[in-house]
Amino acid sequence: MTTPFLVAEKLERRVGDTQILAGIDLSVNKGEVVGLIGPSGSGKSSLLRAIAGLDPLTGGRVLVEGRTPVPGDGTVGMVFQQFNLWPHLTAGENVALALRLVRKMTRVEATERARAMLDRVGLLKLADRRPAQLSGGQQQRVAIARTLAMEPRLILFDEPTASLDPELTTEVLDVIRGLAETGMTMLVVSHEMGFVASVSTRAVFLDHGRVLVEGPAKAVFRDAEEPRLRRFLATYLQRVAWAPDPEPAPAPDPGPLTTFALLQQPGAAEAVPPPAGPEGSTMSLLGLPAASPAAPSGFSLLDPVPDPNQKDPKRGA
Amino acid sequence: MDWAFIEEALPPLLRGAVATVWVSLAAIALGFAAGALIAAASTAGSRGLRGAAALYISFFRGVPLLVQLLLAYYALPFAGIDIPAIIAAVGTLGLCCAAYMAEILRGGLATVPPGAVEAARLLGLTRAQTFLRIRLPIAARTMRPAIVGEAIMIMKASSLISLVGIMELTRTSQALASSTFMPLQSYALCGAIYLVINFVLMAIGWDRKRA
Ligand SMILES: Nc1ncnc2c1ncn2[C@@H]1O[C@H](COP(=O)(O)OP(=O)(O)O)[C@@H](O)[C@H]1O
Ligand SMILES: [Mg+2]
Repeated sequence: MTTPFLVAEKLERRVGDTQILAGIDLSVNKGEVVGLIGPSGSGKSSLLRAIAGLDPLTGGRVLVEGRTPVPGDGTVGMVFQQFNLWPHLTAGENVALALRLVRKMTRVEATERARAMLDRVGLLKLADRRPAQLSGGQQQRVAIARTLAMEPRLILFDEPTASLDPELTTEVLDVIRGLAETGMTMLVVSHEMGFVASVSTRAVFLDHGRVLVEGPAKAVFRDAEEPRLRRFLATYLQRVAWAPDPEPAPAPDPGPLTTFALLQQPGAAEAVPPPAGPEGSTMSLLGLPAASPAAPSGFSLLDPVPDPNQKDPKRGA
Repeated sequence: MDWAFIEEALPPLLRGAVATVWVSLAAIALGFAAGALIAAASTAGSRGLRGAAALYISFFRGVPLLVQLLLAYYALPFAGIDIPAIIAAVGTLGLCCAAYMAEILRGGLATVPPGAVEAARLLGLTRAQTFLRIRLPIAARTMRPAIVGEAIMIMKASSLISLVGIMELTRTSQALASSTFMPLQSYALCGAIYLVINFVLMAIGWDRKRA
């Protein structure tokens, strides 16, 4: 029997009277991409931080390839919602600093590798800019390059696009998708449901510090009957798509390929029957009737997603 | 004030000014370095270190600098430590400066986003590397006006070391005042030179973006 790449056993974290993680078990195989979803405050960030070893646990343990990761040991890389770039350094220096100080590369070696990493996220030309001179999406791509440069075994993404304007999320999600295709093992917390559904091998729904639903992305997004999960998805869809409206939706706009765009792909409007009730309607907006295995033609959250920006052949290479 | 007096007074006063500048710069450099250590101690996990830093800061901020200088002047030889007066004077000035620098640094370090430090930790930077390469430079951006203000205070406070016999700008002008019997002119010139030095410091500290 092979042990999984990452094992989290009965993770518990309690601060004062608050049970932040209430006994989480999770195992992830090498090369898997696990999507973590759940309402705000359900413990998604806390789970990632626990796996990275950033926050002390009050119970349980984390093993990556049989060892408990310690921050800085090179096992776990993390990409944060707020990017956490170093504002006094250029993009290139942000990527190169740890290569020099931790990997003990010479300045020339580190600069060269930093440039290669920035090239991989499509930012070679902006290597000399400071974070303040970059857009949010560019900053997040620098942060990803900085993490990749250290070759972690596992990368954790904590809402990497949550503080970006909608038109900037695609460029970041594309980079993450490219990484997934290289076989990198990743845990991704995101509210971009279309992205999570299409990129994850497995989805995990957290609520109140527990795993409520776990399984292949298809099953979690389409078939799960857990009421909290259904309510969570319904709320999400109402926010991200449109208010229930029996009139056909306006003409689709070929915008960024987020869930929003998926929902507005041609044929989407026709595929949407008038809402029957709050939950039924949003489920059918997804084109995923909970009971029926056959999704309506035209679009589906689970269809393979074509990459709209296929002009950068190096990405993910 | 006539030209003859200025011609006579300026060369010794400028020599004194050079001494003042060197003494002050050395004290400021010592103050910044020691202040960074004290700031690191005052935000450390260890209770003992935090207590020691608090004690240091309250002593040097609570006792007049002149008293500190006199203590160093008389106490060090008494304790069998035989160092030149100039070293004792610069050291005292620098250690006093460190207490103020530590407070400035502590405030500046508190503005560094925790995420920047967390990223450094995950990427494997040591605590010392994170302090020197991440926290200190990020904090420096917000602290510059306060540090320049402190540098100007030290430049002026260095006039006190004239009282323990160091021939700097103030002491030179005192000597000049008694040898020429022109105290008003001597001290006016002395004050003007301090003003010029501090204008230079203010220009260095001038933040174009804020103005
Ligand atoms: N250091 C802390 N002390 C107390 N409560 C915390 C702390 N960190 C997080 N929490 C609480 O833990 C819960 C889970 O937080 P978090 O992991 O950030 O959720 P999510 O990322 O899913 O929004 C929240 O209720 C939050 O208020
Ligand atoms: Mg969170």
